Amino acid sequence: MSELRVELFTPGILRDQAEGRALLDALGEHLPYWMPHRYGWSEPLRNVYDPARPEHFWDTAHGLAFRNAARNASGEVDVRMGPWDILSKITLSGRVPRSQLESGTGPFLSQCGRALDLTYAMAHIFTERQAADYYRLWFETAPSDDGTVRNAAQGPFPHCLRDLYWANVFGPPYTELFGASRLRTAPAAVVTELRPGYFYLQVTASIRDLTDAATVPAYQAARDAVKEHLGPECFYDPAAATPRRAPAFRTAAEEGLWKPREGVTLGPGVQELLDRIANR
Amino acid sequence: MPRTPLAKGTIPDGQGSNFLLEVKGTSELQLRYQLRLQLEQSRLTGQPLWIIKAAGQKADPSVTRAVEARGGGVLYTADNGKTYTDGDGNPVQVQVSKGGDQLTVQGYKPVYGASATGSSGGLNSAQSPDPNAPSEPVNPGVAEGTAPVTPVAPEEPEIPDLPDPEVLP
Repeated sequence: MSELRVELFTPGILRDQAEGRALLDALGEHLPYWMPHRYGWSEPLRNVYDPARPEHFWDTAHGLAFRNAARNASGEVDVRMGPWDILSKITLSGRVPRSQLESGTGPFLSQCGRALDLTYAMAHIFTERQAADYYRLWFETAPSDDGTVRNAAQGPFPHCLRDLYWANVFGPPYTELFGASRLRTAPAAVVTELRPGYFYLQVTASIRDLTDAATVPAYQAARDAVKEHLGPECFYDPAAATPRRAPAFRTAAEEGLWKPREGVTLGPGVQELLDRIANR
Repeated sequence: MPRTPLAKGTIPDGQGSNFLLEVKGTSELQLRYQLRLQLEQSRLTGQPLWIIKAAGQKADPSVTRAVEARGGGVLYTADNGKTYTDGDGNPVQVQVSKGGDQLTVQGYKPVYGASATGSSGGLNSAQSPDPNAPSEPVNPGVAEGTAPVTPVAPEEPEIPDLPDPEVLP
């Protein structure tokens, strides 16, 4: 079974109520089928979403999970609270009515790009096997595993992007990496400069191009042309002999968002990370 | 009023300098309160959380993904607890150092699992079969003033399945 997947990555810690309202507004306007119904911190999700109290919903200090009324789409907010974390992540995935899929996916992502401080965001339809591949690459793009949980916390971002997806938002780190002029001239169906430093790129006109065997080859050709234009060395390629290129990200420890708590045993490599920060 | 999810506590079944360990016997392991707290500890310390389950008792994909996102995973026992596998059945070597302070896990592969939504399980699916059922709020004091809400009318989802070949490289 295929599902629509949207992921939003931000350097912020998503505590601001305005961020929650922005996400809910974008959902309500473009993907209302995915509006939260049940939400909470742990299962079972005991709270019922009340539009009159969005602040009760947007309590992300320790993470947040939600699902829609039809129970076939879910969302998760994972805030960068660990020492190695470089980006907070909002994940939305599941089934969606065809009309909203076609008319709402791109506008939802671009509205999020206008309202939220996104470093990177994507929207794409995945089969279960593709979703598994997408998930696996989170862990496998790092050149080596150093025995810490760093790879699991940071995913591919210190090394490359996994791919170019049907819809993409590139925030300031990626605008700097690719170059604004290169983004403006990308051979994509839709290129929108949402605001300074933030670009929305949509590979083809319709997301349904991913679901029709007749249009998939054209989609792949269009995607590859955009990647070639932006810089293929910024994307994952299992056959690549040259190093990949990525923005330089800072960990939550380096940015002072995480500090060790007294008496707590730290995981592998964390003390070395702290020592490196102290010696700068 | 904010929700207060950290009111209760929990102690992992095992802890060393490079791991947290929880042994679960429940057949339908979900991301409930105790695991959420241990994941919080994992996140704040940088120590991976490993969960050990009996073979044949699959953890919910949301559990697997949550622990894998923090560098740990779900290990399934095999051969009466003598060996371990990951969620795909791949053999995993697990060694504990002499003093029990260090855990070495080799061969574990992160597993996406079944869809986290819909009929195949996932967030809350076992607890709330009826999406319109009345809720039980986390903080009753907060809920007292809550006006009833009308859930979105479920519609028939219509994402067509993708054709082969796969789109991803």
